[in-house]
Amino acid sequence: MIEIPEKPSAAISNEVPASKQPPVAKDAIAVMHRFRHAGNGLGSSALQTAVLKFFALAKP
Amino acid sequence: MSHPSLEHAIAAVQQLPNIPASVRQVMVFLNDESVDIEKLEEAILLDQGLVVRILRVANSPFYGLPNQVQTVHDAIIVLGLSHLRMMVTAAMLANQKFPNLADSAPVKTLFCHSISVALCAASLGRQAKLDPNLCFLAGVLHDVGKLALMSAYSSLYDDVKKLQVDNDIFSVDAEKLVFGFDHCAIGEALCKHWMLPDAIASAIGGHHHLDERLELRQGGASMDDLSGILHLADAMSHGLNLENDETSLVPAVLDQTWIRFASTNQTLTQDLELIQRLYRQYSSMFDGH
Repeated sequence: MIEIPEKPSAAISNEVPASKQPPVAKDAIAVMHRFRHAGNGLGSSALQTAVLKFFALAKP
Repeated sequence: MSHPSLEHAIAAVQQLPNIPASVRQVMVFLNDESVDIEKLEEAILLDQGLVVRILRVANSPFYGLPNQVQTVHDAIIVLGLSHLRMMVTAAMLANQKFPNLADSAPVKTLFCHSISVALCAASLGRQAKLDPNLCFLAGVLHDVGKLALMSAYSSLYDDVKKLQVDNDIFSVDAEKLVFGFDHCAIGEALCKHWMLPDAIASAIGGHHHLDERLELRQGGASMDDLSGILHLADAMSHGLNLENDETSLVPAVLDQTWIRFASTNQTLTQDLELIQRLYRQYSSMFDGH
């Protein structure tokens, strides 16, 4: 059975250099723009909040 | 060019190559908890495409190993069986031969989106006590109908992409306008043709139509968990947009799926971080595709 590890194993120690990371759109406007057709239901709003929190873009 | 009927399109995509027997055999071994590592190694070595992709990921910066991994045996030791299962599933998509699909950026983006959805689905599945293997496989294959349409009807699918961008609509709606049906129906038919589990075929067929399927089930039937997870994983993936697709658009998330699979998840933010880290590792499989 696939187990997504709870935390990286000892072998997984080195962070990927920033230059090799995917250029994710991390600004709040870009995130909200992607949600423009998601509607305002609980599910969509909660997911948007979670994504913004993940990118640390949510207002306190 | 007029669009084909759904029946004609299904018949056309069923002519696409099946999943190679060598990859199927590796997956059978991987699902055996007491598998003999040497037998597994022999089975992997029969598929050179699989070998190349596994070694590429084993040598990715994610693992930070001081020495290069040069053999499949070493890769099995480094990756571990649980990572290897997901990797072989992902490689299955990467190795699949779709005629007329150039090694273009949009195709790579679609592959990477599939990996992102697979990781989200496996994470949600683990939280919901569902088999993460099944969830990962459903995620990897969730847009296989789109790949099949792009392969069998490349010119018509160019019209889909143009319509989608010009009118700022979802691809599934643009597909209905151009074809009269969408990639969900094609993906479901293809998975059935490949004799994949019914639960996967059904979840793929419904990942953009969960609300319609729920309406059909009014009267007591509960939501199919795998379909709900796939629906939510697709939305999560579009929200994260790890593949950096400028046209990425988050679909409406059914409240029922959020409440059922995510609302009580206290570690969601950490899970998203792990998904992002794993995505970097797995997406390297498609480099130079």
